[in-house]
Amino acid sequence: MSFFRVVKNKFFIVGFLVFFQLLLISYQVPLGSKQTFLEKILFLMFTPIQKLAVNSHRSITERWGNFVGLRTAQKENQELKKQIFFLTQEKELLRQTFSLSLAKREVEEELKGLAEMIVPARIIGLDTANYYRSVVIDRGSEDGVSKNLPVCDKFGNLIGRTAGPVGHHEARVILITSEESGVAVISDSDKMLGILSGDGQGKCLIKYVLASSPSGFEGDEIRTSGFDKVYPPGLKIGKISSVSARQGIFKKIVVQPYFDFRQLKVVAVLKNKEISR
Amino acid sequence: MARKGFVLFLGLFLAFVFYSLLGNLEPDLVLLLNTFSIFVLFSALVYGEVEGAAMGTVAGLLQDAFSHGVFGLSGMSQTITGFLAGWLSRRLNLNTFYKRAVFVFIFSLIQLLIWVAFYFLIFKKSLLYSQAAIYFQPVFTAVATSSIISFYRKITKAA
Repeated sequence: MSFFRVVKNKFFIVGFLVFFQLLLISYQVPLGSKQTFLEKILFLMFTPIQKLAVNSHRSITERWGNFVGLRTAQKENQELKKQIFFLTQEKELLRQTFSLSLAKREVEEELKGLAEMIVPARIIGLDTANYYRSVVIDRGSEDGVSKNLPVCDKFGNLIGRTAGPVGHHEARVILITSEESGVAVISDSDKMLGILSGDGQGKCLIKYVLASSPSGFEGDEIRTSGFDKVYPPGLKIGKISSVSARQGIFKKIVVQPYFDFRQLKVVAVLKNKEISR
Repeated sequence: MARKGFVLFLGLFLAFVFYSLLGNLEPDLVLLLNTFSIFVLFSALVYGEVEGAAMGTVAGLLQDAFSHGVFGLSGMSQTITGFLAGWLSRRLNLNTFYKRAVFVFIFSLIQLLIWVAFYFLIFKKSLLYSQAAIYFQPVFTAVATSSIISFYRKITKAA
């Protein structure tokens, strides 16, 4: 049989393709969460299409929403005016608090600096295998986003961190609900330290807390401790929803994150890890 | 040949766009309707086993690129499914909507099982507990793929 006939054989083609996938898998597994060159290329090639599709859809639905919601606009306007009033009051109070310890010019610079440290981003894609694992945002290296930056929801609750590949205007965010994530955390009341990881089903688990330890009780608030040097200390994560000591020497502490996946449209990337509350 | 290439390219593009839009509408829809699987099974049933396997590789790798997992896992399951579905569809009469839907359901289930089995082999963890929506994926894939093929055949007949 000639070489060309062998190459044209359909079983040879599928055999070659399966062998190629096995090679990719065997190359990827030791790398862990690092991406291969081919994966990066595919991600960076297709994210602009994803961004365009999602933005077009949003633009159309927003225009339609504007058209339909004209009646409620007046009522909303009044509500927003009320909110602006309270927010202005709050801002002034903060300004006054700052000015107690800093000079006016320093206060202005501090507030300006805080705004520059936050990159607002929109979610344009979900993980194809499990949406509690990762999302794609529409901000990248040209917006000052790089790997391992904390990402919060609009209320300041931690949702995850940026990870590669980071494109010019797109980046992947590993969610705290992912099994591959790890966050150094501390509880509010008893200062229990632990490593928070996702369960892949929308909740998180605090690992390595000994069953004999008195720490950890339901309802306690969990925040970042900052010991991992990735997340700044003090970011809110969630509340302990259950504690059980059934899993051997360690407790099983389940945390319900504060962020609501279905409400997650806009997020904030913290460019400076030194931001703390 | 050029037309086939155009249809396959357009199909891949649409599969990706729909995946992006479904996630934007409702996260569960991404799991219920695996647009990449629909595209691979469409290619296999309409064009045959080689096209099914080739598109399985392309769409599977694209699916992997947008998942924080092992790159090549979906590629492998989609390639095998695309080839087997294309090869067997040539030997069966799948001219009616229902026959085609049952056939696609079985292969969508096979694809899911290969994917879950390989994931389990690598990570020693099962993906089946992650979300309930994943159990309904073969049903939705079957209905969607069979409907798309019926629609595509009507268009090509008319043309």
